[in-house]
Amino acid sequence: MEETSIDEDPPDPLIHPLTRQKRDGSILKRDRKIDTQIVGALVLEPAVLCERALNTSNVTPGYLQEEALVYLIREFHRVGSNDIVDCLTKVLIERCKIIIRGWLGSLDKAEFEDAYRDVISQLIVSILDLESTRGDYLQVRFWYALKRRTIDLYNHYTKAINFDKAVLSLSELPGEDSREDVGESPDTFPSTSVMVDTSRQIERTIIGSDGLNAIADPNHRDAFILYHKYGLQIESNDPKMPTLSKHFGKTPRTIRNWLAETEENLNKWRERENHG
Amino acid sequence: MANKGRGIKLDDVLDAFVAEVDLPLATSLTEWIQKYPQYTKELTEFAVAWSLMEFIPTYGSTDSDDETLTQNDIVFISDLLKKTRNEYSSVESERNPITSLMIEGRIVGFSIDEFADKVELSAALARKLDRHLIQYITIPLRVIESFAHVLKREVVSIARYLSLPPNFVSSASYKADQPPSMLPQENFFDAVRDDLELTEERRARWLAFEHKEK
Repeated sequence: MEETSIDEDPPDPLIHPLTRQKRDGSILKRDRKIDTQIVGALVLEPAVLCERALNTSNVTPGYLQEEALVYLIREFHRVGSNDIVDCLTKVLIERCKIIIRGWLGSLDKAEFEDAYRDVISQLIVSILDLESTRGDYLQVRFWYALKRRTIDLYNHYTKAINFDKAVLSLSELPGEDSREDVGESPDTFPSTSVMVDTSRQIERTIIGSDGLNAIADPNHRDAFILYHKYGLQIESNDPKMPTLSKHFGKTPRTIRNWLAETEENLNKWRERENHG
Repeated sequence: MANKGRGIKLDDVLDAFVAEVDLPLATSLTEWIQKYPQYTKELTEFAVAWSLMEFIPTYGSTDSDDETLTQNDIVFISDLLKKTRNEYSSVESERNPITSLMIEGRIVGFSIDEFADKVELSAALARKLDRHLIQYITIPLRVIESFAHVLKREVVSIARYLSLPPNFVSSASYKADQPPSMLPQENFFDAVRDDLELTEERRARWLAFEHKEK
């Protein structure tokens, strides 16, 4: 997929070009269609512009795509037209709200609202930062740029939760038994005698079910999803290959224990659900 | 054939990864790691987060599906716009307390690792400070000043934040039969000595403050 549309025409002289470089060293360019929307919007009276921005039908003439809205917010911020900036920003956030909240929906309730607000904060700060190129890609591939930021923050929040859990587990009372990484000690959890099915014949109804939310340890749940759904291997002879063992910092044996335990717990959950 | 792209920024790689990959399967991740081996760790973490974000069922804890901005949304956005425009005075900015150093770092554009590097700490140490797991009285003033400089915040705001007690680990406490726990705090210099990610140069530099503080 190209980072920009193929555009042989020179950029419109009425609007500021982008300055961020692509991976190949060339300069990022907006789609010609976006430039046309921008030029058309710049000649409008503020009240008319705000009214037009409220149009959510992308087949209606005069519709302003998100990439165009980003440019317009930046431009009016540059000249100090705060009322228009406020109006257009709220329109843009309203278009994003449901999608962002959907992306973050698997976070705990405690973190969800904070994460949502942080995505919004980062988006707005990037747009209004006229000194850097942070706002450039938002004018080219808005939704991909937004998704990337959301994934970053999602990663931050899940790492913070797991970090707290790691600290908490270290502070537990001496003698607390841990099933993880105790050298060559045998598996003690009964279900780990069940071999993890390497052909991944896991019943599809389990994957994606609410049963996953019933798994107490998010590391176990995450390992299960990554293994069965996304094909991440437990271990590999190739040092460059990403693996579950490397990602979680645990031995392959521990990962296999996690997977077996999770599978058994999910099977029990399913039996309970089926029997009411 | 592989474009090692050593000069390319991480943000550019991740932007392209999201745009060019439908789902972050292990095969696509491996291809991208081969293209950008210098970002193996970051790409893996990002792909894992993406996978989980796509796939873990939602808790259904979001509010209604109404996309209209709530009054809280509007107030939040308005306040943020004012703050970003520097319309707040320095006194008013003190009324917007810091809720997380990491989040502040993200807002000014740094990843966790970049942020930690800017303040000359490791990511793990930065997180400990963020979660109030370091005894405030053991934190060198230089640390507080670094955070203030990088985040463009007042030193007193950073100090106030760092002096807060440790958080309850509400969402981390998955053992339902136990009450939420207060996390333990450690001495800053002990944390520096024990940190596995810190370079020796930075470790020595921070430990030099231990003798000055005494």
